[in-house]
Amino acid sequence: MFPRMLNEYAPLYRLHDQMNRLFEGFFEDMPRTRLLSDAFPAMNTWEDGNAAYVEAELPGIRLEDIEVLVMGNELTIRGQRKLEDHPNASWHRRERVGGQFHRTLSLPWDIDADKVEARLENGVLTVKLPKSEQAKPRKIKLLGQ
Amino acid sequence: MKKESGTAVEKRQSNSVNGPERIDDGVYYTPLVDIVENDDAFIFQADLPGVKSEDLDISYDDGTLTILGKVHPRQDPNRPYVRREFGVGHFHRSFRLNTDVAADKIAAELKNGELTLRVPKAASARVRRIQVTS
Repeated sequence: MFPRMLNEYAPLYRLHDQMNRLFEGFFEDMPRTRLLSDAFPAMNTWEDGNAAYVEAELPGIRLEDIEVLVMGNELTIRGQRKLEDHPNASWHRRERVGGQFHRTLSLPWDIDADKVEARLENGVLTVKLPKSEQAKPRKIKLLGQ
Repeated sequence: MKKESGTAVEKRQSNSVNGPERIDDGVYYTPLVDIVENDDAFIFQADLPGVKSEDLDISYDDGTLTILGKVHPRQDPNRPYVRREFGVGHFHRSFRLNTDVAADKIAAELKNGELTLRVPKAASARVRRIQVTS
């Protein structure tokens, strides 16, 4: 399912997926298969040498309804989606879901919490998680005899 | 797919709404939509994360309402995902309305990746509440 997933991430995700299946089963009846995970929010992750980037789709969520927390090697996203109430109306379709969510993601290395950047734009959250200095590879000077 | 009833019925463009549809300029996904109807209007609310207002195209033609949202790639294609949980692509969905609507009064608002579309019914299709007198 995740052919490009690095092995070092696999056990960490598995653990957290089991812990965070708040919306388990909800998406089974959805008219598409674009979600590859049943944890909410779904996250795409990539990295360059210095940082990991995590992206989550959070449509309809305002800045004040979401918290992004970083500790050690963990990123936590939690918040709440409030869907509009429509009293005195009849529903033809109800596919979207509201409520609270909470998800923690562990990275294989410690995060430099001071340099984390998070943006919420057009319903997409992007978090840049730079590696702590200790987690970066250091070139070791070789000594001759 | 569940059988639909009522006046707002999904128009199927392809033989499957499940998977992404490949069209010339990329992958299209089916956005999640809520539809409610009150006496005066239909209200469509769709999740379109990543769509900017200038990339949103809403059209109404002869009873068919179409929502088309383009999403620009947000990630350098040369950097593979280390973990991928959702597909990123454009959004497209059409609905067939069997009620006459006031097409020139359709109003759309896109905020935080959430579209709210108000489609007023034509005057002839509105529910009139009749006061019962004894």
